[in-house]
Amino acid sequence: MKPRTLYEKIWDAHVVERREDGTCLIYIDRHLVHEVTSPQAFEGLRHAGRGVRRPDLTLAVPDHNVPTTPRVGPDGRLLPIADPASAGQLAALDRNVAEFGIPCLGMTDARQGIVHVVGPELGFTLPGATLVCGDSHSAAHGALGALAFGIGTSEIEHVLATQTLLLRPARTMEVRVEGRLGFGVSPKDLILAIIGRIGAAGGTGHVIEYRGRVFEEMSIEGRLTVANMSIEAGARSGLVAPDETTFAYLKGRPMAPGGEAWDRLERWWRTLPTDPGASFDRSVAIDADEIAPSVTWGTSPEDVVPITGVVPDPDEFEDAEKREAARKSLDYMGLSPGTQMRDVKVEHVFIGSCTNSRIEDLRAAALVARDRRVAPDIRQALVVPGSGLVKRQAEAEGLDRIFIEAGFEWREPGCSMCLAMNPDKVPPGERCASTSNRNFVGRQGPGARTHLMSPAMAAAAAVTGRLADVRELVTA
Amino acid sequence: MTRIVLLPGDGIGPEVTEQARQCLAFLAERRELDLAFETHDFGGIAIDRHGCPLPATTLAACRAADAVLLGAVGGPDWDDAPERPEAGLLALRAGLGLFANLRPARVAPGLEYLSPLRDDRVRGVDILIVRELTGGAYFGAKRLEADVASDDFAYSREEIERVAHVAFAAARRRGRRLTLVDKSNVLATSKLWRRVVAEVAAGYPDVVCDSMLVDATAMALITDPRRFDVILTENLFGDILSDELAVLPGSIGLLASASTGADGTALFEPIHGSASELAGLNLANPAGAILSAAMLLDHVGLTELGFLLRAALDDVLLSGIATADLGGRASCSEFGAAVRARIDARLCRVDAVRSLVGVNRGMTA
Repeated sequence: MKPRTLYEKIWDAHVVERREDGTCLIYIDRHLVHEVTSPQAFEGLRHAGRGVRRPDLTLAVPDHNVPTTPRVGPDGRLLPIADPASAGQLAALDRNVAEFGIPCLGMTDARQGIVHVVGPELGFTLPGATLVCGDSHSAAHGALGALAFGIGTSEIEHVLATQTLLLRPARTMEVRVEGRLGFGVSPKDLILAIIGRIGAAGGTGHVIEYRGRVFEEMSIEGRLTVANMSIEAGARSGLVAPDETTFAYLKGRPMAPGGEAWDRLERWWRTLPTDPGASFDRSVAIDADEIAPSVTWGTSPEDVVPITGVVPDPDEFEDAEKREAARKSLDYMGLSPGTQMRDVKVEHVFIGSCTNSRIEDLRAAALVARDRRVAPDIRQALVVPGSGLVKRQAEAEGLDRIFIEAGFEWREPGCSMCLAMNPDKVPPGERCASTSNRNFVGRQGPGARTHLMSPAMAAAAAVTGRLADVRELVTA
Repeated sequence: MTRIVLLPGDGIGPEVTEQARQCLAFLAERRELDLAFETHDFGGIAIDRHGCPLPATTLAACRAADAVLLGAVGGPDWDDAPERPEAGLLALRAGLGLFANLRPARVAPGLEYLSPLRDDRVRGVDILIVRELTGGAYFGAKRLEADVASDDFAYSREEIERVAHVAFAAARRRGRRLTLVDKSNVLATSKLWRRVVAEVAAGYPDVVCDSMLVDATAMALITDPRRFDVILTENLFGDILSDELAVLPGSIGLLASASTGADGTALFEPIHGSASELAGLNLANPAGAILSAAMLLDHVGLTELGFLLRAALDDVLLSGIATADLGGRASCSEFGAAVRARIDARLCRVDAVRSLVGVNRGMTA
C-alpha cells in the first residue's frame, strides 16, 4: 500500500461515498454545537420535519454570547441577559437541545465553557475522529489527532440530519519545527511565527500537519493553541499525530471510552501517524531556535514582529498590495513606523479565548502577575478561564488569588473579549494586549486595536502598561 | 555536562575572567547545572610557559569544549617575542574554524547617561554587528616593496553565504531587520556581497533587508543609531565599525563578543584589551567578561540564565555601582560580587513564583 499521511488515513477511514467530481461524503464522528451558528439549522430541521440522526454524537455548549460576569443571582435564579439578540440565541439553544434530545452543558453547568476547550477536556474529542463545529477555530481539536473543520449553518443542518458532510479532499502541508523553543517562547509565539512565515493565506486549500521535535515534546494544551490558529494561516485544518502524550491526556476523561473499547481504539490510533515515505504537497521547515516572544502590529495575524522589534515601515514591503495593506493597518492601529514595540502603551488586557484559556495558559500568566500590580493606566484586565473545569482547577492552585491580588478581574468561562459578541468589548480607539486569535479590524469592538500575544506576554503588558518582553519580567 | 574552557590570558584577562567564571559557577550551583570548567594557558603566559601563544594542548581542549571563554591577551612584556601573543588569537580562530564575529551593543534603559552621545540619540539602541572574520584584505596575499604595496581583498560565495546565514538567523531572534554594509559603488567584492546576500535573503522573507555604504553607515551610527538592528559586513569594515559602535554604550569595558564557526564550538570574549598597566590591581571592569558569559549561556541553550545574567548586570549598573572606567569606585571583585547578589535576588523570586504556580509542560515561560 502507498504510504499515507495522517490526514489521508483519517479521511480514507471516513469516506461513505466517493463522487465522480472528486467530492466525498464523509462520516462525522463528533459534532459540537453552540448558540450563535445553530438556531437556523434547527429551524431548518423543524421545517423539513427531520430529527437529529445521532444526538449521542452531538454536544451543545453556549459560549459566544454568554456574559462572563456572575450568571446566577443571590436567589439562585439565572440573571437576565441584557442584549436581546444574545438572550434570544441562548434561549433558542435551550429550546432546541430539549426538543431534539441533544446533550447540553448549559450556562450554569460546572463543565460549561468554550466549545474548543470543553471538547478535549471531557474526552469528547478523540484521535482519528472527524469533528465539526460551526466555528472558525474548530481545527483546535486537531491537537489530539482529530480531523476537525469549522462549518457553516447549512452544513450544521446537514450534519445534524445525516451525520455526514460532503467535502472535497484537501492538499497536504507539513510544517516541521525542529530544535527547542527558547526561554520565554510559548506555543502561541510558535504559531504566530508560523503564520508570519507562511502568511495568512499560506495554508489555503491545505490541511497542515505539525511535525517535528517541538510538537513531540509539547503538551496537549500547547498543541491546542497551535492547531487552533491553523485557520489564521488559511488552512482548512491542522493536525498533530496522536502519541503517548495524547493517550495519557485522554485516558480516564469522562466522555472518552474506557476498558476494551479504549484498548481497541488505542491500537488503531497507534497506526495513524504519517507513514515513512509519505509525501506532502508542500513542506515548510522552521527552526525553533529562531523564534522570539512575539506580538502582532497590524490587522492580520501574519503581521508578527518579535517584541524586541519595531513597527515596520510600509515602504519596506516589496509587494505593492502588502504596502497598501500595511499603511491601512498602521492607520487603524494608530502606530507609526520605527516605533519600538516595547514603547506601545495598552489600555486593556485580555487573557482568554479558545486559543489561550487553558490551565497552562493561566499558570504562565500567573507566573508573571504574581507579586505585581496591574499598571495604573490599564482600564481593564480580564482573565477568563476557558471552562468551568479550568476555572475550578485554577482556583484549586490559587491562581485566581494571584490574578485578583494583582488587580485582574477573574471571570466566568466564555468567549468573552475575543469577539465582541457579549458585554466584554474594547472601546473605539483603545488598545488591547490579547491572547485571542484574530486582530482583525473591529474584532474586539468597533475601532478596537488588538495586539495578539501569549498569555505570559499579555500578563507582562498588564503589569507594565505597555507591550513588554516577558523574559525581562520572569527573570526579575 | 557542558564543558567550558577558560583562557584567562594576560594583563587584566585573569581577573575579569575570574568574575565571569564565578557568575557562571553561581548560576550552575543554584540551578544544579553540570558546568565543567578547565583553565588553559593562552597568549603571553603560554609563550612564557610553553614557548608559543597557542599550545597544542590548549587548542585540543578548546576543540573538545562546548564553549570557550577568553579574557585578554598581549602586553609590553612580549613586544620582542618571536611570535606575539595576538598571533595566538588568529591561530585559535583558524583552529576552531571561527568565521563569524558577533558584537552586540545595547544601551540599557536608564544607562543612557553613560554614553558620550545625547540621551535622546542613544535611548533604545540595540545593535548587533555580524562581521566576517576569515576573509578579505586581512587574509589576502600581501606585497610590500620600497615604493609600492598591495593587499589582496578577496571573497568567495561560500564565505559570504555562511556568515550571511548566521546574521539572518540572529535577525530572526531579534528585530528581523538586517542591513548589509559595503562599498558596492567601487569595490568588486562588495558587488558580490550584494548579490549573494540578496540570494540568501530570499530564504528569510520575514527579515527586512536593506544595504548601506560603509561611509554612510559610519555617520548613521552616530546620527541615527536606532535605525539599525543587525549589521552584516565584511572583515575590514566590521573591524572598524564595531569599534565605533563600541563607544555608544559608554565604556569599552561594557562590551562582549562571540565568534562562531560551523561545528558548534564558539569563543566568547570581552572586546577590551589586556590593559597591562591595570593588571593585578583589581580595578578592571568585568562587565564585558560577564556579558560574554551571558552570550555563552545563550549559545549552550541556557537562554533563561543568559537573560537572567544580563538583567542582573543591568541591575548593578542601574544601582550606580561602577568601576573606575565609568567614574565609579567599585573594584573588579566588588562589581562581580554585586552581580552575583542580584542573580541571587532574581533567582529567589523566580523560584518562589515557580513553586507556587507549578511547572508547565511544553511552555517555558
